[in-house]
Amino acid sequence: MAAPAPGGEAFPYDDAGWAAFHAREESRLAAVDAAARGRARDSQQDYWDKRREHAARWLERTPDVAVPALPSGFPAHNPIDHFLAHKIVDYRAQARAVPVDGVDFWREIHPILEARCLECHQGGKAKGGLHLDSRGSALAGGEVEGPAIVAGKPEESPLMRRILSSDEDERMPPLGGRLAASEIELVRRWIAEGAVWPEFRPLPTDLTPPADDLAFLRRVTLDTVGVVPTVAEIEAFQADASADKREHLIDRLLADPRSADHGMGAWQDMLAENPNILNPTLNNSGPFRWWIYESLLDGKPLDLMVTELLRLGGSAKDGGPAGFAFASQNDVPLAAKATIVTTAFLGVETQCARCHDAPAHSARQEDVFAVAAMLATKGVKVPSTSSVSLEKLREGGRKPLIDVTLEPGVTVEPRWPFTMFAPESLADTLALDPSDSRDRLAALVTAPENERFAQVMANRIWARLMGRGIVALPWDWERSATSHPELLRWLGRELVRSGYDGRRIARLILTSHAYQRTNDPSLAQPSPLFTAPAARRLAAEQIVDSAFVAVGKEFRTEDACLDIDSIRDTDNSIDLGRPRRAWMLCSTSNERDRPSLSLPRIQAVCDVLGAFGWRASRPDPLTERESAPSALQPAILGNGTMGLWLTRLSDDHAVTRLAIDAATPEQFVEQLFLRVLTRRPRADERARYVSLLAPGFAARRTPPAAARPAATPRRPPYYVSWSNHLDADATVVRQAEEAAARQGDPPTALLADDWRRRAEDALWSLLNRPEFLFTP
Amino acid sequence: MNRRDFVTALGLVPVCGPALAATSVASTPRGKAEHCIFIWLGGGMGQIDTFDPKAVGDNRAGAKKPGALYPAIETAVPGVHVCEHLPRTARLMERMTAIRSVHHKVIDEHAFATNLVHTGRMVSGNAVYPSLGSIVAHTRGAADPAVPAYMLIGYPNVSRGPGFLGIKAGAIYLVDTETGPAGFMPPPGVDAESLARRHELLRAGAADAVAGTAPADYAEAQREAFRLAGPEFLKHFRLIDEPADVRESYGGEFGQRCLLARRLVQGGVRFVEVSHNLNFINGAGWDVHNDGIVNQHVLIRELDNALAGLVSDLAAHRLLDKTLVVVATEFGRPPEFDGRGGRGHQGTAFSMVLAGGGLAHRGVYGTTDELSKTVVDAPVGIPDFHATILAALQVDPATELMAGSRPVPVTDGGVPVSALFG
Repeated sequence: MAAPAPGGEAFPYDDAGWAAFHAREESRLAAVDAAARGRARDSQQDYWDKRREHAARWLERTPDVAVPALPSGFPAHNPIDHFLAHKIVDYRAQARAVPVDGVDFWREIHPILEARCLECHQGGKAKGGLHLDSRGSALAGGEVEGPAIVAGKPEESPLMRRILSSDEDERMPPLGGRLAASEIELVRRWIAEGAVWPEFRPLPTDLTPPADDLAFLRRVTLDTVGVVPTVAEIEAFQADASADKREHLIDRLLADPRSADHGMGAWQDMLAENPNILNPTLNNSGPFRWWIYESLLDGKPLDLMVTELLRLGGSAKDGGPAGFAFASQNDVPLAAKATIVTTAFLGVETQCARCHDAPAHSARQEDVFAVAAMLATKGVKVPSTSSVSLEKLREGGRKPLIDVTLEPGVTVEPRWPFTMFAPESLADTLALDPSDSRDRLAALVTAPENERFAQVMANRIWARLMGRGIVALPWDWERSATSHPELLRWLGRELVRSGYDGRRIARLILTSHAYQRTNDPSLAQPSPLFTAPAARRLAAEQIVDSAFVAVGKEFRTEDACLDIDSIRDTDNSIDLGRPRRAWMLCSTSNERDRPSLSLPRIQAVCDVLGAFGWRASRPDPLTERESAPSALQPAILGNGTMGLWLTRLSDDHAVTRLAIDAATPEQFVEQLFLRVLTRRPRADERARYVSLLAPGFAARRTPPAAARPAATPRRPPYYVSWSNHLDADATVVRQAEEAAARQGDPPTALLADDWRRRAEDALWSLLNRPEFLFTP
Repeated sequence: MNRRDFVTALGLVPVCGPALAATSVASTPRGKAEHCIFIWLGGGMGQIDTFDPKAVGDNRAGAKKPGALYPAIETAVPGVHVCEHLPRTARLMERMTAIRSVHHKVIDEHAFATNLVHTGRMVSGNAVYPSLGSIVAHTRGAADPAVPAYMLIGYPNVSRGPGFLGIKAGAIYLVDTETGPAGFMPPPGVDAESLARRHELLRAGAADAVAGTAPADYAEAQREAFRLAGPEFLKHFRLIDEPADVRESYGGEFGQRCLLARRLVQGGVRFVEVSHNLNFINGAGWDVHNDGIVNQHVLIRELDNALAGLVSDLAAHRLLDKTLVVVATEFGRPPEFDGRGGRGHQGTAFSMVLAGGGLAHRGVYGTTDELSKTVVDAPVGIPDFHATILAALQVDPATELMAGSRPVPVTDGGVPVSALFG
């Protein structure tokens, strides 16, 4: 029997036929959706034409940033390399001025400042107006005592007096105990020697050469589409003999729809996308991930995307960014969103300003609530739960380190607080509807006059690709050093010039010589001179997605849904679909601890993701995840359930096919290395793996006739859903599912058992190498 | 080889915040406990049917009469009664204190209340507060380098997680006593020969990483992980090594989890959360709406066996004074019955239990009205409950944790119940 489909094509009415039909329908419907989104965007085309025109005029009337001439002896692919080279030359000149044998400021003094002083003495709210994050400001001093340091004269330096003082009100630092005697002596000597303070710590200034083809291919593929390259992609790239093959590769990858998948993690973190499949609780937002994904897929300009977000249109559950407005069980959801907006798009950290004026930043609580009111389109009341009682603080005795200038119970009206970035009046002409405060907020955030926005977005892209921002903390510019201010402004203008196309900035960075250099294996992070990249630990999603792609096993989990027969209201239960990439997973929401509500396969993958820094629940925004190594990571990857699925040679595993078809053990080993590590084995590696796999290689295949595949009875499996999960049977069924997930798929009968185990060991050992987890 | 312990390998290094306020030690109650076994009764244990029994009502009549479902029995503490389905616990009551005056205002939703009782705070969009287990792990670390500080027998979720304290303060978990801790059991179907081959191949491959770089640090963490997945840690999970009569004294799977918790505590784990989630006894577990209440007594008996078994066994091993046993739940249940004779949720008054830990136990603390609807005497808020547990575990309640640069008091103004510190 055949099932006729629209267009007349017939599909056989069997499993394979259904799969083919399903795939075709999915891509057809995706195209229908994309076309509909396109038409919706077209309906706003007049407004956006006006915005582009406005941006073009702004670019014309504001001075361009001059690209410096390339110093001799430096390679360059584009202006980025010019800016970087210029700075390196400048730094070399500074380095020649540092005295030999004196106190090493960066090695000995800066760690003290960073650990004990900079918390309070930097940024917009530096205590006493004293900034200790640069020599100039330390010498200029603060409001209370004038210069903190008198070069050459420690006895006249107030900083010295304070760290020696035994008077509790005078002593610095005020918390955590006095500095150690050895530290005090170091500071004294350093001041006596003239308080030499170079802009950067000693840095190598030699550039590393360009990375070889395969290292470059792996790195750029991971950095654009979030997975390692396939063998076909490797062969195609190596076969390409054109001079600009790298640029072509970059263009192909940036246009690849998988780049939208790769972009998701950063956006979900930045916007605290936090849906729950069972009852919105604990700061859950709606599932606006789909809107993020479509925006990335459609290549929306960043100003348009952020404008859509802030207008909060669409449905909270069914599409569009309205789900961003929600934070369940939060006392003032829109104040939480205001913090997200300022950190994500303006580099202004307002986390502390939620309940009181930020102690070390210029942001005040009133600013956060003013933005919240703009999002609310009306006044927002400050509840007592979002405030701190000053009486309680004063109980401690010492003057509180925070200010509370906003009384609880006060209503804050909509107001744009960031007039240093753009004047509020700009919204009168630029906003889609100037009487709507959300439109005004969107216009003021994304206007080209707001250079901060373009630079923040460009810096975020730079930080992800280069391993270090031009502005060190992409979400908190007040507390960050900026290594290349001119380059930053140039990139900001390029972003505006491109129509806010983030891919243009990505392309500039990826095509630069600086991005393509060989890693310096001695670096944990690139230096602020960007002379050489450092190996970067992959994000959790990259690790998981790459592992499945590399070994060729289908990413297969349950539906991300606890109500698969849909008896509950969508206000309480939503379906996040069948995940095909890590970003589509979510918290398994089993606060009730019921085995019948577990999702074992999703949990197995979440265990790996969580160990590598992914968050199942994202109640607050984040830019930089934890990336420190912990023994839990190799444990869960190497011994855990997901690792078992990846390394068990089952019938549906690509390496099983490879093993069966390989002509020689050498060929098999080479294929494994290419798939997993994007390189060929070295001679010693080849020898070791071939000696493992050569014995029994010739006889490894079981004749298909003799191989008895496991018979699976055709019977609809029981399903467990919210509707029946309280039945005793539901627990039994689910526990069987848990056990099945832990056991993995049975090994193939087509390979001799002993040889198969050795092949699995070989695969496991490659997948679990540290090399797999870092950019080459 | 430089032996790095489980604690530092997983990064579970105890760190005290720099801003330790100076409080007079003499005025702050301070216990002697070294470990905590935190029994979590998910769903909301009805206090009136367990530790705070009142006059019997009737849930079968057309017009239901509010009250307890079961008659009460005397306990080892004169004047103190518990429900008849807690007979073994009743006989051990002098080693326990049922705090009957716990209260909060979050009753609508399980996750919200679970989060409140685990973290001691209302949910915020600005900081993800750590669970009690993570706080204890962070401040005290493990008692033995070969084991983690914090373990969970149950499902991981954000309420049990470390929040702003980071992965280092998280739990190693297992879903039941058969399967073992995730990531530390050898995978099924991989024999010893394969394991040896894998590690040999890895060792050879990891030689290239330059010392002090991130890949080298990861390789170091990897060597530690594989050592930790060895017999020294895994031996604690071999319940088969326990005498049969001991295993029987604890009862079914839930009891076996408590037994495993005792072994883990003996091994040096600082905080073990044991969840009671085997809902095939009565379907809804402790969340006895409607018909769920029909077999509630079976659940209570299971708790009775496990709790009494645990307390007796800890005493037998001379561990009871050093181990604080907590029986916690997200809220209680009202004395009124719902349409089908079950009970809804109630936060105005409910019971949680402390046992052992060297506290001055008194059977009960705090009083509720004649239907256990409201607290009449000695209210204990959730922050106070946390402060009591932390004080018992020798964590100064004035400690401040650091969320980035923001000092966060270890409890939200909680005051330990001084009567329990003798």
